Amino acid sequence: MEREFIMLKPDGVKRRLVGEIFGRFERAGLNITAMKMLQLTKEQAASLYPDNNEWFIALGNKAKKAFGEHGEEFNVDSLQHGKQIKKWVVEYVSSGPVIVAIAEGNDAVYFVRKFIGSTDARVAQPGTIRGDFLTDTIYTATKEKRANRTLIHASESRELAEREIKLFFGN
Amino acid sequence: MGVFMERTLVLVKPDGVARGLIGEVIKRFELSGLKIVGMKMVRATEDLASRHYPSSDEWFRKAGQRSIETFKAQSIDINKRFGTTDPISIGRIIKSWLVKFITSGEVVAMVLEGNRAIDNVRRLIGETDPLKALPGTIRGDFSIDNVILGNSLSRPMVNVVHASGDKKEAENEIGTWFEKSELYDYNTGADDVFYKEW
Repeated sequence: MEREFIMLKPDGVKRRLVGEIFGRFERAGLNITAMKMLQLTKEQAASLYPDNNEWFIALGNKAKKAFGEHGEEFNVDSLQHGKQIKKWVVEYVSSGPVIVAIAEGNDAVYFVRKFIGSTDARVAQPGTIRGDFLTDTIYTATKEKRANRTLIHASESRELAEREIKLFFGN
Repeated sequence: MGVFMERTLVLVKPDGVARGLIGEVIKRFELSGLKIVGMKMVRATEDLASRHYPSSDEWFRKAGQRSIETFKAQSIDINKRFGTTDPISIGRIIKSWLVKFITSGEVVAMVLEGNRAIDNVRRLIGETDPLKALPGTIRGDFSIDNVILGNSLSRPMVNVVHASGDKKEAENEIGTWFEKSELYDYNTGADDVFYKEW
């Protein structure tokens, strides 16, 4: 038995996908054991994402790669651009109410992430949440100077899940 | 403008939560155009639950009378079940069942907002007694319970959801379950579809 932290982002709430998305987890047999609508502060939003250069550079490189796939060159410093992306992400997830929740069940971290699918909507499989409900891309988001919309956040590991659950639900 | 912007309280009751129907229920409200402006899963205390259900003789009498009529229609002796034929006493027993049931597990409390939210929500959830609720409504689709079965097991009907009955009830219930700071104002594309002047 394992617990996974889930956060439905402002675009999911505004697009009225709360029931659809939580219904998918329930249908699979996971139990929703905590749930709350709240407005994140910028600090809370920032605390959900890493703060190290390695992660920033990886983000920056992803954007460069997305431009490359469109035959364009994106001339920025990966580290600096990665930091900029984090600012956009913080802006995005604090732009309206979100729903934080805990899903509990066998291998919850693995299964929740499988149901959600890839952060890149272009490769997310149909049948996954992102594959079915997103058409945003890193390329377009970057052009529009905003974060790539991903609908939902789920912790990457059991350790992170427990950390994020503590952050929002105490224990 | 003919918009009657209202807020109403909905609970997915312990039976709905245990049966994994939270998402399905929320989805129906969202698809109708209603907006969730507050939501949380809670384990209600006995105090919260008894404030949620009214404690007036008028309410007890109505609740008791409803059971008396149902039992009469089925030719079942109500005295045998409740040990009394007084509507108010029966109403009190029913309230104690309701409180016991709603505190028996987690519920999802939410505040929904929209044009005539109170009546629209009641339309979507259907009749209180699932046996009478039409298919296509939440209670009609997701419960096979009825009054007689519930009463014979000393419990209220398991009908998945609760929703405020009128404006005054909505105001009281929202205040019972939510702090003002837990309710959010935000705009969505669907708001324009319903409320923007053409």
